[in-house]
Amino acid sequence: MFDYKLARVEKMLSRLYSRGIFKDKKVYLFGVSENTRQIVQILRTYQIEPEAVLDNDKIKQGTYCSGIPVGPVEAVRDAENQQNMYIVCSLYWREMTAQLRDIGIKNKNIFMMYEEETLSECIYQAVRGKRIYERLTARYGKLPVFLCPYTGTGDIYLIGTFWKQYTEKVNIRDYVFIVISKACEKAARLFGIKNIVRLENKVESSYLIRYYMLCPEKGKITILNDSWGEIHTNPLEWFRGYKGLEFMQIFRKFVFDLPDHVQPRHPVFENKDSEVQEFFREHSLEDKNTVILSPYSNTLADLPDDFWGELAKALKKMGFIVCTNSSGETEPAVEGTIPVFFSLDTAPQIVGRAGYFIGIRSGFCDIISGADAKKIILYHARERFFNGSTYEYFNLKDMGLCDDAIEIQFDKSDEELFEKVIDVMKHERR
Amino acid sequence: MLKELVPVLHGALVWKLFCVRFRINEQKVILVLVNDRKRLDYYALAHLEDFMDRKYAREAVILFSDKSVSRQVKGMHLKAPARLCLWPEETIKALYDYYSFYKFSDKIVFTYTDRPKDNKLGRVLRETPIGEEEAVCLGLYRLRRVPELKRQAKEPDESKHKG
Repeated sequence: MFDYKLARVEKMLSRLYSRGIFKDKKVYLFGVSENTRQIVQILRTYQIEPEAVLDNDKIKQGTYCSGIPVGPVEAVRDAENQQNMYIVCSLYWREMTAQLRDIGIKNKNIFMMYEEETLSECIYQAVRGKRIYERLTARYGKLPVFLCPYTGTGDIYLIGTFWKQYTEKVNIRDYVFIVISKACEKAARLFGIKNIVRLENKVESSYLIRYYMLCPEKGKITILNDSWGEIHTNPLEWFRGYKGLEFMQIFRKFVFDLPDHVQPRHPVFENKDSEVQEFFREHSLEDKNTVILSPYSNTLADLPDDFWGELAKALKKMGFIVCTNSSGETEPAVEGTIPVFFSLDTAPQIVGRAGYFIGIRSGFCDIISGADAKKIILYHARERFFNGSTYEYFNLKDMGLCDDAIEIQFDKSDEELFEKVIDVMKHERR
Repeated sequence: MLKELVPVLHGALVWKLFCVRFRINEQKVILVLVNDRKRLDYYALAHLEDFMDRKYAREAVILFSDKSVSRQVKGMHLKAPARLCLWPEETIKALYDYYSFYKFSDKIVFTYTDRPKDNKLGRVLRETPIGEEEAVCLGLYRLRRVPELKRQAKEPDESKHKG
């Protein structure tokens, strides 16, 4: 959800809250999605804990979304109860609300938070996009513009691994490379990508895309993703994970049009020894005896705090120094571990020096995939990404990013996963 | 930019007229068969009812520019009520120009494979093992699976079109 849309949803929820609409109500959200996760976070600021997230996808049923159980619509026992509230914030709101009405839920109990753009808004956005494009051409000249409209550092890293081969193939020496976050900018810098422009607001990338959609031949804009939701005439994302179209393969073929034998290449890591040494000294970390925990992921499922707490305890008992890659309040350190925060452009060197990394699969794992360390990457076995499991789609080995990581799928945070991780670490101790 | 806006606005007008003529509402889906690939159009028709189920729709309007399509539709023996509409190719293109810029409905599906520039469906069909039926169910109708065919008519002879 773009910032301005999120602000609008926040306002709507705040209004409902101040009118007392949530009082004694059971709240249900429809659809496991980023929108739903954001709404859950807002509701929690009002001490409202939703009952369940409803989803028609059988694979998602029985799992959790931001810690809330996911179930089918049919599982709501007293669906017609007037004390139930159903929040819908999805592009597919029409089907969702129709489905809710079909089981007897009244319109007044359905709260639609999704707002579609009008034609005039889209034209306005295209005009804004044209201005941004003109600003870029005024500064850089009429160079090809490459746009990365996402915040995922993993996507940028994958782009980077093919960048040199791609620019050589299409014979482009000069270009403008647009990102929308600082983290993405840092990930791009790892590969020596030049003329990186970070847009101030995420929504500006949307304006540029709208301009591109209106005038595809005018602006020399290329969107560096296999597909992008705004460009609704390209259905490629719906084949993700289907018949071998995994993350790397789909990027290689459809983003870069490179042949199947071309493999992703890690960047050459700069020598940052003194910086890394200082970092280790400052945080009292030990070379090749430090475990960096990375328990957070923006896109994929996470594990409960207890799991990480117990794991940290066990690792410390084994003699490791344990720290958490933590960016502050929103990502607190695992209990009993040292909070550390380091820039993405030193991450591979820091992980390499630490010697051990245990993390839930996230974009950060791509960044450190080339580090010389024991890497344990965890995937929720039931979590899906379009047509495949997240493991099938994102595992580092099949992506060609590394073959030395131990990638483990877990069904839930059970003893088995804990034991598996500990076994690997015990083996290291021997 | 004005030059690019004109076809969009023309398409918007076409859409308005279409809505009036066919009384388009939330319970109707629209399938536009563009005859780029006969097998793709065939499967779009064959799975039309699956799409209607997904969209909670009760009726369909099928728009096409090739006269032979009406025979094909009749051979399909669709259970759901479907109205047929023969339009000139250029008018269909105008509607698609509008749709390519602005998604005015999520109940309309076009079977273009290489238009506009960023539509990679044609490449999917040419360069991957994915066939037309999967392309329809996953890519065009977004059913997330390939359901068993409910209706079957004679498939068009055309083998998987290349190029």
